[in-house]
Amino acid sequence: VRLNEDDMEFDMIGIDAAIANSFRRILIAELPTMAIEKVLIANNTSIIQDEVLAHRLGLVPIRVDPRLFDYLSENDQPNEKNTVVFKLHVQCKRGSPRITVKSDALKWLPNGSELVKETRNATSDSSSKPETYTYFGCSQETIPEFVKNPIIPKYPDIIVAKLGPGQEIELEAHAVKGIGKTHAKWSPVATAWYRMLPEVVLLEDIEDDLAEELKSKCPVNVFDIEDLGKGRRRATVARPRACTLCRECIRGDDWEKRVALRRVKDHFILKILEDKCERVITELS
Amino acid sequence: MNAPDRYERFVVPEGTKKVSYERDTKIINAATFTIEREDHTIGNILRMQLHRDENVLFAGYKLPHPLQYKILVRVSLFFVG
Repeated sequence: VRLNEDDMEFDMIGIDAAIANSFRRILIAELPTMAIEKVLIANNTSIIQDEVLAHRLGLVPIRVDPRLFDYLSENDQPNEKNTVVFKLHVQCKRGSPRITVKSDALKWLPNGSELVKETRNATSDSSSKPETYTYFGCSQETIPEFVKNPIIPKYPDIIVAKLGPGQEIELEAHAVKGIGKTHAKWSPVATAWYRMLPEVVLLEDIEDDLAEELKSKCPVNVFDIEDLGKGRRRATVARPRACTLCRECIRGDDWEKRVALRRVKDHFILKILEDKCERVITELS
Repeated sequence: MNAPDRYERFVVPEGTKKVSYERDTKIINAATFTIEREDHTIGNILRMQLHRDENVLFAGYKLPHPLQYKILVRVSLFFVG
């Protein structure tokens, strides 16, 4: 019914409540996404603790299609098929005012990790490339989807940390694929809910003054007046979908007899607020 | 501290079957299915669909404990067809 960048709303008619609920549960918990999992911190002299910073980075949503990646399990090496590497290096010089580190400071490294692993072997140096924390066979830039859309965080203005003068953060973050069941950072939706379509039934014909009164009562303008001719006016239910069931129209003395509020049994309206909207739509279709 | 790892919610360990089945001794035509590593998402839908079948007399599911990730589905039929 409605689809924006950030939320969508649609109706499902003729299904049971169990299916709508399972839909909602699957949307929240079982659709895969990419989120930062491992943070390798080289230098952190800010007042934000390492683990708090890593937690915040994990919650930052990333604009990338998770279907292009595989899951990374414990025994696998992190390579270009299952990891996305970001780098964050911010420094606040002495004498300059405080800096706010926002999520657009995360830079994508398509060639993999740049941090060098400490190896005990002195002989494996010099000739070959130094060993890093990821084993990228080829640069991720060569994958056609990434040529035009580099991988960046979805919202560039998420505050990650704040730095005072003389403080520095230097770290590398690895993002992997996961589902919401493991940790909520992998949930693709901000939230998802459903409700049943409200049905407003006028038990008697409501005319003239009572009709005007009814129309002015409802805060979302569910009712409308239609003219019957001969100067009489009748109230009709124009927008039942907007009804929030506030019961304002039943308040007062006799209104209970005239208006009944119910729910249509198998008409569900699902609403989804999404961080990474494109992914959910294409996963569903 | 006692909580199991989060990936246990959907990873079936080696050796255990995903679905196992036991007939009910006291009631004829009844059985209990144990499905490992599932939760309400599947259980409720299964139960709803079983109710729509005409041969089914009794269908229900439960999670014995929220920290043990399995569901028990109990079904009993009118007669063995």
